[in-house]
Amino acid sequence: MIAMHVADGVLSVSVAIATTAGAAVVLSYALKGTSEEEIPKISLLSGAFFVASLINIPVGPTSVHPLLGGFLGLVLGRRAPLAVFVGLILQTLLFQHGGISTFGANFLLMSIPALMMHWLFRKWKSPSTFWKGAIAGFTAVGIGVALLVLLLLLSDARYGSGFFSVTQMVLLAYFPLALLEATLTAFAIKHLASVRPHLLDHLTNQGVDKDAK
Amino acid sequence: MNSQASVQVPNWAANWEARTKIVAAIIYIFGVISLTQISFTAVAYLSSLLVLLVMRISIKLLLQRYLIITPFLLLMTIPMLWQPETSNAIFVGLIITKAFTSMTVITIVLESQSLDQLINGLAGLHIPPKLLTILILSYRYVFMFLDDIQRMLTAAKSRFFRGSIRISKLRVYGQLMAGLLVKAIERSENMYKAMASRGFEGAIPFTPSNKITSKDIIKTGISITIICSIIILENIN
Repeated sequence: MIAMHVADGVLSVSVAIATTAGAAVVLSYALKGTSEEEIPKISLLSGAFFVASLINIPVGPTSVHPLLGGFLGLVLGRRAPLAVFVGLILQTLLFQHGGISTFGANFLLMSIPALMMHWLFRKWKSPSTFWKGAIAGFTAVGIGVALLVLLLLLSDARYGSGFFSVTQMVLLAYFPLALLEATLTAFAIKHLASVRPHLLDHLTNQGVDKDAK
Repeated sequence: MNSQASVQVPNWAANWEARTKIVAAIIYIFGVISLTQISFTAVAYLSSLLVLLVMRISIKLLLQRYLIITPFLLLMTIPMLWQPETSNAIFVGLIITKAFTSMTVITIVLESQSLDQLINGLAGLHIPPKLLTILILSYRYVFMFLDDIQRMLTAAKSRFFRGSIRISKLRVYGQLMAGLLVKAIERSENMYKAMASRGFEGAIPFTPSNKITSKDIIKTGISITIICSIIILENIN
């Protein structure tokens, strides 16, 4: 089972400190202006996203589980980092995944792609819901992996050296996951749009863009 | 959390105030990852292992937790071992020792206090109340969602659904996820009404944190002194 949870020790202390500071900034942005009415919705959606990400999909002798970064961005918008924060804490408390010094890095690896997908589809409303899901699912994993590679190379050049380097292996390992994520997000967002269309109003031309106001 | 350890952990460890324990753990872990020599990292690891043993936390539990992070560590290290260079082998050893030290410290923190103590500790560390409220509400409902998804999967399996990565199966997985979110939204609407009727104003009231005693400061001070000493000795060498 592969997940985007960087363990302690993998990143250098300077990268760990910088990403922790960056995470605090992103978290403040996500939290700013949160109304009391939104809190139960964000909380329960965060819990549901966390559980959905635990679904194991059998692949041969092993299994993979979705990351749902793109899905988070499409549904929760600028509040997506709050769900990422909750998910990482729950992962630590319940499954001991992730790390302390890498908490900021893990947070940014999920939050930045989610926010980017939110910003992209706030402006680009022409694709169908299905294709928005597919693009968001694939691109979110791609951006997350690109950020991971960047953090690894900033930590130590040895991650990128050699005939078949760690960074190349990361890209190879996550590419099939990006395709899987695209398919899953596309079907999930399409189903969500058919059952609860108002939830995705901000992705359509009829929707009111709350952030733009 | 501390399911198996709550009755075994000695009083001095169980009574260590949550905020000071969390601060000690964070400083220790950041200190460990700043180390560059494997010998000094090993000393930091053995120190954390000693504390874990003194706290009577199960080694079996610790090994299980090492297994959790092993796949990612292998992904990060195996390619470097394909190049037969001593510096790469040492670097791999350094990464693994740091990761295991961190996991040992996390296990100490998680197994020596209850969730309530930990959450109160986080509240005492001035985490924004709204964020803490979101975390607590999510935690309370996550087990309900786990039951929901289990029921959905059981229902699907009873209709001869077998998981795989074929498109038709991924459509079902996507619909299950969307169904889970719909349930969450429905619950949140009822939940807000119930909470608002009870005077909810954006944050759940928390039990005030326990007072930090001189003993807590000494325990945290010892942890910080150990890691600082290791860092200083490494720099001297």
